[in-house]
Amino acid sequence: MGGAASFLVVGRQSSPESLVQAVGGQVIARLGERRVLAVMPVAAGFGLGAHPQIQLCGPVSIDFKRLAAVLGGQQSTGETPEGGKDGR
Amino acid sequence: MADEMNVGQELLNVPLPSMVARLGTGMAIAQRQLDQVSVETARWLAQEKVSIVPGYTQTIAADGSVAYTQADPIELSLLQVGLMPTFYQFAEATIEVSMDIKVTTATETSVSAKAEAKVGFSVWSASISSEVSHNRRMGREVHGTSRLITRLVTVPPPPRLEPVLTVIDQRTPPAEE
Repeated sequence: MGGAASFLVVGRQSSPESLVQAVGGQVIARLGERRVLAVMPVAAGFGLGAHPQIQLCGPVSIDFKRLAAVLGGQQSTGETPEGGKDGR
Repeated sequence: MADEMNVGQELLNVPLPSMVARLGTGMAIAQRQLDQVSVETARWLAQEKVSIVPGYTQTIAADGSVAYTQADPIELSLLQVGLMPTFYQFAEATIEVSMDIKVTTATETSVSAKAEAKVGFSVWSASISSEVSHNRRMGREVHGTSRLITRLVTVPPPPRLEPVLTVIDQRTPPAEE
């Protein structure tokens, strides 16, 4: 199982960041006190799931279309000082 | 010829059917565990919420000053935000069996002969003794290694797992001049 993949890692009592780094992974986003999104080798990710301090280490992928749609609300309403549209 | 037959027999003795059966069973168990992890991940992604600010407005006043107002944050699950569980599937499995068979035969034969003759007054005797020993040593070394290689590929999640996102934008479009 070569290559790297994204994993949602949930610690049981504390942040799993140090455990992720210990297996050669890299935290790319902190989603809470005990949850991180990390990139690590696939085999290491599945192995980390068996660690007693890890509640979950599951493979995830990012649906950029959905993310863009959710964040689409942040687009401007198109109102410009001139009163025209700004091409949102 | 006999040695060649032995080598052939050794190759036939490789328990290939049971190896394939065990590999298949092992892959089925592993596949089930992979699916369980992915389903568990999906459950977490659906339950865990993050706070998202759905929108903000930048207003540039006539005098050039800029003001920002943001909408109230809303709670969305990680699944709604766009984090999807990855599902893996075994796509290929290979069994490699290599054997190193070494057969040696050594034959050793030793012959010793002894002859004695005695002659006396009207009496004579003669004796011949011989000793033949025959040793045959056979050695056989069989070394075998097997290697199992599997290939995992990602597959799309079940279609029903992905929540359908429908966007209803009720913002008033700016009036066109």
